[in-house]
Amino acid sequence: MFSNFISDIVSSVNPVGLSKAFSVLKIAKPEVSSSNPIDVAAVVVSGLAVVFVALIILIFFVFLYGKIFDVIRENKNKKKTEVKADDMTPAAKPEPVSAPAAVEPVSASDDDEVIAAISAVLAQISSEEGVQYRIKSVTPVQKGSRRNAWAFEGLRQNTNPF
Amino acid sequence: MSDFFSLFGETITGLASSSGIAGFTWAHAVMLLISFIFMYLAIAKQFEPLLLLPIAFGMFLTNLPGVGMYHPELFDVAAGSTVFENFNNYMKEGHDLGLLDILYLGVKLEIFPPIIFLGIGCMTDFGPLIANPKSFLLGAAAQGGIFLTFIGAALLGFDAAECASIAIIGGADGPTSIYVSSKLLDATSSIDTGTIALAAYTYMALVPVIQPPIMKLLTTKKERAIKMESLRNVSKTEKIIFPVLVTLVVALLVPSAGPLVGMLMLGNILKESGVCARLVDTAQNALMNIITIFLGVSVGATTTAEKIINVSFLKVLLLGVVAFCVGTACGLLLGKLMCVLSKGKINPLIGSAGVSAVPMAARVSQKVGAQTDPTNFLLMHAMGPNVAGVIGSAVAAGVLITVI
Repeated sequence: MFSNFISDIVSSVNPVGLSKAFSVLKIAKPEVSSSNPIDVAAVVVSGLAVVFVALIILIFFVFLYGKIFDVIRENKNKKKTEVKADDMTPAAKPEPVSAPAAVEPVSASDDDEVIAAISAVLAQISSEEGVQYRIKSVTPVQKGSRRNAWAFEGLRQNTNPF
Repeated sequence: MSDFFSLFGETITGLASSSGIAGFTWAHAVMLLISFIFMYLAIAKQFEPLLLLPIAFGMFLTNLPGVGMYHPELFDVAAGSTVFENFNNYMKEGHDLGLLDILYLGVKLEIFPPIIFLGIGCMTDFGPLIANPKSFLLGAAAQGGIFLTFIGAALLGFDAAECASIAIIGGADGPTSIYVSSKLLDATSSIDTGTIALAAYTYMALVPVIQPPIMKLLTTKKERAIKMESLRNVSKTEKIIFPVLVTLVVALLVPSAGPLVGMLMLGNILKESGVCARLVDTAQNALMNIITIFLGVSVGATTTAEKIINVSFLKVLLLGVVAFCVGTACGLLLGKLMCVLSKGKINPLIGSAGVSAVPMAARVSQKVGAQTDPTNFLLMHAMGPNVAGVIGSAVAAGVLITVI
């Protein structure tokens, strides 16, 4: 019974070779009877098997071309970085600027750009007000979260209605 | 003068005997009442109103005696004959066709559900699924609801075609349910396409009620609080290749699923290509709206008294809810397994979204996850299994059509 179902499905697969290869399984098309437990079991097992096989094949292909595109993307990024590095001349290097605010070692964030931006803002405020500020630590609002505060708020607003 | 009175009397008697009131029976009254209940659910409770309201009104129209908008005998096709021959013979006999007879041809000839899928394809973003292809497994697991309900329907005494038509409700996909049932059921069946559509759309609307208790029952608080890693960005080229690839694989493997998957993917490639804005606009708005009206009202017209006022309808309602529950549980259980195998990187709640019902099931995953931890955003992760479920249910439909 099960082989009949499989042969039905396989024989409907288009490539002729594959169909012929499985034609050994092909017997007369079975009449499915819902009162026969074997028929019912065959429908259930073969049905689930075909759904899983079809979707697993899709996983394989999608995973495969995802990897290929990742490699292409990485290569493009590498090329871009190389071109940028070539364009940079020693004259373009900025003069070192001494920040009035002393920056303490950062405890939980390793994002140099964020710290530099915070230091710059504080330096600006400090020079305007004439007050010295000390940064003791910079920690993410949500420990373990990769999102910044703006992304987090955007996400919250978008998903809140649900 | 007496001639006038006799003619007047005959006219009034003739009108009275041909009026709907003369042919009105208790069965009509019950059917009209049921149609009012579904109208109420669609309007007041907003249960999938876009389809449930036309279905309910189609039910209302078809059960008004004498209106003759739908004739079920036209679709009772004998072996070796076609529906067109039935139409031809019917007209040769001097009968008039009803509007809903003609519209129902769109269902019977499998035209409307694939066109609905075209519109759905235009509105679907497969990005989350491409970014995390493992989601396909959850979409496949949730189809367990379809095949396990097949067993339940067999135990309740339905024949194979009826079992398959009832089981497909578990796919939580209205057009797919209509597609399968219209293909497999005939005039001798104890249920009809309208019965299946009513149950499918009612339960799809009840997804936010049916799923959460099962989700909470089958997962621990710790599992529900799992935060998943952000999905990678998917390029436009990947999104364009995807519909072609899916159509190729599914249509080669299960050709019967070709019309549904093919049209879904046609809609998607129109969208992702970015060069067919006008077509996308028409497919997802005007065309889909027109077909939704035609599909709903004509499917509703098949719900005649003899197909609804019987025990079979109650059995379908029971099996429908079982199908949804089993599908949800299957998705969740595979989600739990994937959670263990990935060492806690996958939140099992996204498994329940495998039961199609886009995007309702994904929203439910998001909501239940957020109830445990308001900073947990599962929506995009759940969209992967959700759209995989659409493909999975179309494949399951193809399998059922092939084997039954």
